Amino acid sequence: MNLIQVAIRNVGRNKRRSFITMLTVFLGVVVSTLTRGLLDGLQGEIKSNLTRKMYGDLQVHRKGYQDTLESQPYKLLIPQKIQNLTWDQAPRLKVMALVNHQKSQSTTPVMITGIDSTLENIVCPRFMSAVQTGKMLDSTLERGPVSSTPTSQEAEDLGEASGLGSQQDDQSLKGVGPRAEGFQQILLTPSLVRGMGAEVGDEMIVLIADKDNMQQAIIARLVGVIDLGIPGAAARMAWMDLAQLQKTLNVQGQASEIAIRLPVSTDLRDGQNHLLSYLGADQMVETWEELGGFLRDAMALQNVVFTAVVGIMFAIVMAAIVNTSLMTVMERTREIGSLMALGYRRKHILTLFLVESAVIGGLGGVLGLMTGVFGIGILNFTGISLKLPGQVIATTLYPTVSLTFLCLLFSLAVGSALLAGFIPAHRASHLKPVDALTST
Amino acid sequence: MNLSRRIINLFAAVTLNLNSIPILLAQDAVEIIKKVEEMLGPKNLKASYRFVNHRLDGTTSEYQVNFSMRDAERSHVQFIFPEREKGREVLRLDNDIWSFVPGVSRVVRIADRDSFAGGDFSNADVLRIDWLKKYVPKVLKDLPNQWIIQMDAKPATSAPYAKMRLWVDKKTGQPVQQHYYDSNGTLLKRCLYGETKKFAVIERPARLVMENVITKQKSELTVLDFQMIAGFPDSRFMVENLGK
Repeated sequence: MNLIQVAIRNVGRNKRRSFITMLTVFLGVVVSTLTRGLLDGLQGEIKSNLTRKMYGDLQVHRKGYQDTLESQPYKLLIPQKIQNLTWDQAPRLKVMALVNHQKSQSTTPVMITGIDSTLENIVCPRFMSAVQTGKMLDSTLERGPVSSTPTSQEAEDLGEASGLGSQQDDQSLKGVGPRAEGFQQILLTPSLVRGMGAEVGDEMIVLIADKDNMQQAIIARLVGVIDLGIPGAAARMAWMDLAQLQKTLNVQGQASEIAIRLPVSTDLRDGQNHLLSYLGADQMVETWEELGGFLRDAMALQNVVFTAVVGIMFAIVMAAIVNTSLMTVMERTREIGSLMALGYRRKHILTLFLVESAVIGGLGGVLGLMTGVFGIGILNFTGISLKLPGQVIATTLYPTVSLTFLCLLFSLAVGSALLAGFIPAHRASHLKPVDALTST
Repeated sequence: MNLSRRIINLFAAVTLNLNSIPILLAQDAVEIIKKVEEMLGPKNLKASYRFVNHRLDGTTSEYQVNFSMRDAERSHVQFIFPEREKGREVLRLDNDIWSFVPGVSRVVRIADRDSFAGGDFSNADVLRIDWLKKYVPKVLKDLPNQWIIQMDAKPATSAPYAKMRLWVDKKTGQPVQQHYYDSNGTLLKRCLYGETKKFAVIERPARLVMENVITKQKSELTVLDFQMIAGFPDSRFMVENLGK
């Protein structure tokens, strides 16, 4: 107890030096806390984007899904609902199609995803807010195509044809022809809309091969532009109503994937294992981490880099503490000799210097943590708006930091101070009293 | 005398017309389509076609091919123009279509509905004239000079279109126009036939214009040569012989 009091008093003996050393620890802790907070905010945002905008927490597919989705979409279909499962489910149907923009007459291949807007809003609520312009697809407004009834155009078409070489030859090429129209909606990504020069409200025709490989056309209205804002997400994507797409493709009640939202308290891996018990042997469950492999790896890399940076920072902090302690030992050699002459043992001297280092580390750490947490609190309150690469709509980050990390960081600050103070303390404790007393 | 002659003439005219009705009725949809199929794709056919694809920006691309058809199940195309496409081959064996790509010396399987030579004709439009196998025809409208035959896809036959309508000239049996629809009745493409020409024993349209109603682009097919030969060697219609 006496030693600790002496140590604390010693810290205050050379205020400037102790302040600079403490400042080094303080800055190290503040920078680490803020960096971790921002990183947690960014990674939390990425995770939320992946789980609440795109993937859901889990996804159910038929085995082989990732390899053959584009080439054989109809071989991968599964029932659109998992019976007896109480978790929220959003079935989706994915097929490749050609989308034609009538105004510019540009046609481009896209991956169409059929969604039920009500279910999607429950499982991936952020998807519904990813509208850059226009509005979100609303399944309740969908009206399927009414089989084309004889219009004046078709009545005319059912007359005698002139074939080629007549006046009708070129005129006929400008006609529209009978078409089965209802009210069907389509959402496109910004790059597709830019590429085709389309605007919200424009008519698009989706050309698509159905389950029997028969060519089908869907006349749809571009109702909105969706910016997923997820690096690595495919740019050539479109969304339409699930039920209408199923009907057109003759695959009613079937889906390519089912996105699942886990109850709040359920662990991802536990949920994955639990879900498997509801599925057949030909089906599989993937977590959002497995589906977003690139981003998961990117986050892991971020963490490695962060750890390395913190390591380097605390090496510098330790160097500063070593330097300060060595100077202290040199200055106080005679004092050490006096203490030893008074009966202090080597372990007491060692403890004295170690406690001094720990006090500097602890004080710097506590102040650093307080400042860092305060800074994170302000940033969390205000949010940080930034555009990730490829994003049109800015993302708002809300930095957070976990208590576990704060405890670890404090331990690191004190631990590094102790480690750094050990060499000078050891040196001081091994001085010979006579030599120490006679040193100049 | 005059009166009796008039009566005889009237009787003869009525009889003649009555006789013509069963002839007309006998031309049911299946027979009409069968004749058109035999006209456009007879067995052991050796032909040469030129394709011109017209794009919306005013550019065109031209291809010339040699076409062989042994029967309704087997047909083969060899590109001979332009130079860079020489050696490309397409082979159809019933429901499977294969393409040999000379640049990489590999055979790839392609789909019926895929575009033929980047134009508005699909592979099915060019390589298969077996409508009766995939569709059920009926006379939709009996016009004074033409029949409109509607062909509805048979279930589960992988027909490329849900419905087709073909206008056939009654007098000549020549196709005049063809429309292609999806299952909801939306018109996808239309083909105009014309410039009827006699090739050896077969008289048929020598020019076809296929318009894609959706993309507003069109492609032309001109028949340069069309003849029937004694037969083809089996090797012509084997996947493993593509590119050899």
